[in-house]
Amino acid sequence: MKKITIFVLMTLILANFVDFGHANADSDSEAYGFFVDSDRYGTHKDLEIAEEYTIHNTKYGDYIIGYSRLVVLVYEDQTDSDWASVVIQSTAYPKDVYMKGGLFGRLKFTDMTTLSQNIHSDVDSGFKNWGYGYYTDASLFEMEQPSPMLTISSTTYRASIEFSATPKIQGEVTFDIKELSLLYGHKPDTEIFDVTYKYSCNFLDCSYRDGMTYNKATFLVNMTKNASNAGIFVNDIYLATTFRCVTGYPLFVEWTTDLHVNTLYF
Amino acid sequence: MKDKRYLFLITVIIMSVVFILVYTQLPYKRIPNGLPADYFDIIDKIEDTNANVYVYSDKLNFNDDFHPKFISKVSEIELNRFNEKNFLVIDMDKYNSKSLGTIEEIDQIYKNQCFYILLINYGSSDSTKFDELLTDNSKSSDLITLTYSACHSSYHIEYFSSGFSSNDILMYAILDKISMLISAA
Repeated sequence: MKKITIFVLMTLILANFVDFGHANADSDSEAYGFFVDSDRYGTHKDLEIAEEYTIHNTKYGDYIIGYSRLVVLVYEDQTDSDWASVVIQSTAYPKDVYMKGGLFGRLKFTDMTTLSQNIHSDVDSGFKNWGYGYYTDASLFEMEQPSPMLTISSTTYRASIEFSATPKIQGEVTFDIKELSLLYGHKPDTEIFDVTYKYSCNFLDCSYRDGMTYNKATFLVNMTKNASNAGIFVNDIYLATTFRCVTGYPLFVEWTTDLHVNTLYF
Repeated sequence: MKDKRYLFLITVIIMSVVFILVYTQLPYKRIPNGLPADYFDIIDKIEDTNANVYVYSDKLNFNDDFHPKFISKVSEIELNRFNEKNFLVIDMDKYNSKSLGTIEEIDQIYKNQCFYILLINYGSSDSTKFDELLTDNSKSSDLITLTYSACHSSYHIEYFSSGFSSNDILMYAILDKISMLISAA
């Protein structure tokens, strides 16, 4: 009995100090809302952060009406260098402004709102005909809490997308939250990843699209069809954010700002 | 009697027009034209958090709405490793012609003293002074933020991909960036 007790105690003590296969997330990916297993993917090969204001040019001057940001991290699969993983976080922040306009150039409060964000990636555009070039799967496309909201939700933003040799799905996923919907498309022959986050009001509540929001996307890149590509990965990623004026001037006008980053590792 | 009524009516109309004009102009007069309505909120946020903002520039004055510490030498910076809200804004137009300090001195406050470094007018001044710290994508930018991992969560470079059409917009971008970094710290 004594031996069993000592054995159990020793096991408990050992279990406390020994790590039995615990997966660690890369801290940079965590900072942007992703869990990228550092044992499998190591540290990122490239991190690019670009930002931009949307400017409305008028005869009275230039006005800042929106802010957008694009964060891209690229990881190489340490267990299979034919695979790379790209994770993306985008930010949209409409900026309200007192704008001059009208007959007398009076200042008027201009209320801006986010309409949509589109992430477009021409994966390694120099090469074609990969068959199935890349896909996202459920475990890598959990959109849990993409934006800071008052009520935390871990299920309403969930989306699972899988791309394979033949496009299995192409269409629209509507999130339960009613304030964000997702449109995506995939064409294996052109190696394009394309996703659009569309903002809308939840009945009369438009606070989500009026505030600062974040969206996330990720896809895997299969480089097996391109032997010469081993160790080199080039990826162009574009973010287009569209803002709209809802009160003030010029009413209902939309502005789209493009951000482009080029990720590269050798 | 009728004339007095007309006079009163005209006076009321004129007063109403004046009131509308004054009302729509006065409260917002202080925000520089073109800058968003959160301009003073951002300044208040930076001031409330006791962030140390040092500026090396002859052109930035923040319209007297914000009062950073203007320096001419790195040695004028008060070092305080325990404050994680330290910012050094370097105007490359001035840096290219005058000396703020050696790269080693700037490297010291960047890597060891938890400073965020904001490089402005880097692309437009065709500077190459900090090239070794920058990525190819960021070298043409006019507002680059450098964060070092030893002090903050990670080392990274953030950059605005386009230039700024006015000094006011550039100054707002600096304040907005500092405010966002304070939120993320």
